[in-house]
Amino acid sequence: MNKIIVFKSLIYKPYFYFLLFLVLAGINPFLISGNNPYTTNLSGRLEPPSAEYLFGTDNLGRCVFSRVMHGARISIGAGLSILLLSLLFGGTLGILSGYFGGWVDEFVMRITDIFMTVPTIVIALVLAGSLGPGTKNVIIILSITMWTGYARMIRGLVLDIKNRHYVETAKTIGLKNSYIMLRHILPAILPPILVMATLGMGRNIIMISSLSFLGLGIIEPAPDWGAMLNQGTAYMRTAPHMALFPGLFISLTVLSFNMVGDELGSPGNGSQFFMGAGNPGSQKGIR
Amino acid sequence: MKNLLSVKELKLVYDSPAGKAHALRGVSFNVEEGEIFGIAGESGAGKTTICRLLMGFMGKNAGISGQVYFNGDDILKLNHKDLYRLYSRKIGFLPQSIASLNPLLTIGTHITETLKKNLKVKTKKILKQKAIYILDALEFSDSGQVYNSFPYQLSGGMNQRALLAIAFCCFPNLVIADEPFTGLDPDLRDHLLETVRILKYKKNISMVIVTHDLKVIEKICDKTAIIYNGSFVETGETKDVIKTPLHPYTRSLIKAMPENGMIPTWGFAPGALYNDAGCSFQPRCPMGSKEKKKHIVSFPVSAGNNHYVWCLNAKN
Repeated sequence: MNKIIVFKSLIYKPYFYFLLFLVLAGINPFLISGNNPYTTNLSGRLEPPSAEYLFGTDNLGRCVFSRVMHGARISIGAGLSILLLSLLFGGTLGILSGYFGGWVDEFVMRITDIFMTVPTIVIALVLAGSLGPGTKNVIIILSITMWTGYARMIRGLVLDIKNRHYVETAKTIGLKNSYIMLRHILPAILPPILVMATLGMGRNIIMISSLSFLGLGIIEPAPDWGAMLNQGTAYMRTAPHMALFPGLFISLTVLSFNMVGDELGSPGNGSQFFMGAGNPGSQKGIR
Repeated sequence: MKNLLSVKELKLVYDSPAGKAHALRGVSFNVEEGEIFGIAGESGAGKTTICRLLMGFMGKNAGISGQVYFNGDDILKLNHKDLYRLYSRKIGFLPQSIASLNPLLTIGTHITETLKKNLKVKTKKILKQKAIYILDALEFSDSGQVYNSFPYQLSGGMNQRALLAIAFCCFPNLVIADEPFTGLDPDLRDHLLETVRILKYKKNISMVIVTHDLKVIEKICDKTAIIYNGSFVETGETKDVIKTPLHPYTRSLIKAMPENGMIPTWGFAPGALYNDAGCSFQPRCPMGSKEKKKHIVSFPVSAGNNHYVWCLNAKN
């Protein structure tokens, strides 16, 4: 019942449909664009947008529109994989350190501190330099660098929840720690995690594009938005559409994810996703 | 009858910025099988501390001394694993407020997760049957619906009964209740106490009830101890303690009951930092000792029939 409330407020939001469109494009890009993103056509290079090539063609005569659509799969797919991996790793460490406290907490948090002292992009660049480019490597590299924020945040949430009366009562029943963490603590911290995840998704897409832009991420001929942006910069004067559209899609996607996160985080929405039970007054939602 | 729980010289001292704080100053009592033992006292007297110590919840802090024998095992010396095995199967805990129910789980989940820990057969059907059985025993009119409800969908009294169900569902030998039924209206409280009494007789369950409500003590407890500032001031059969109180503090408590005119006693308890050898009630004592003499009352005075009082001036 509470789940419907979330989507009800999202139904009126255009950015939600933009993301749905991108997900659809990611699942089957040929549904949306008829052209093959890998077919080169040297006689028709750098053509401006037309009816056949909605976003024009690039320096090898490939259809930019179909490349952008195929890029959605990489951006959203890789972004989601990074999100899940880093959330799993950071979340596990965060819950453990928050729940047990003491030296476990100290140990995990000092490691997190070490990671956080160095800017994310620097670690990512160093790792990318040593591992080399490629989609799989990008996912590994960014998962390694992105988990710290989640660990920190989830630890803080657990610290709050673990002092609730019902967690103590669960201990007096004699339930196992692992059970208490999964059944009593995790559901209570899910709504903020959900918000964090949508916001993190935007950040992930930017990071993937940044690495690709620098030539250390996803490489040609795979159609990645960041790599396309990188190529487009060389033709900025003669064919601005080459850089414009991938750039636009990066911005719009990140913006949409952030807006969804914002919407979920606003009172009466995300907080009710799972927490409606704790809030008897707001069963029907605030809006 | 056999002793189920016997507490010997239980003390808790901890370091505070202002010096050593005595939360408990040597408390001893026995709970026999099928007996309800009540501990009453004002806020800060150490009631909840006793509860937590009996549950083995304070860990192995340096400041704890004394023994808590439950079925022959010293709870304070048991390791974590053995202790957790005892919980809810041998020792149940009845918490104070309905905040002890997880708002995200149904009442049924709460009961089944407790049952699941202690039963060998763990099929969903049997767990549900058992949960419904215990809910029926607690006089819910529609147990099936309560089983599927979240705590917010039930009233305060129903939630309290759900807590009873969780504490009693495995029929433990001993239930420790930390201020149960606080903040409920008297009718409902009496009803719940009656339910507890019936459950207790059916399954021969012993209880330790910690409360500041003398009504609860009067209605349900077989034996009573009055605690003041970390030490017992009077123990005995409930009827003796309530009808013929000997300690001035017990008398002032009884005077402060609504039907006795709610006459307050001036002053406050000296607190955990009080460290004189004498009676800690002496500053407030209405019975004199005007010479400010410190009574040393490390041993109780017997008044017959297991009635003990820690006061030298107690009139017989």
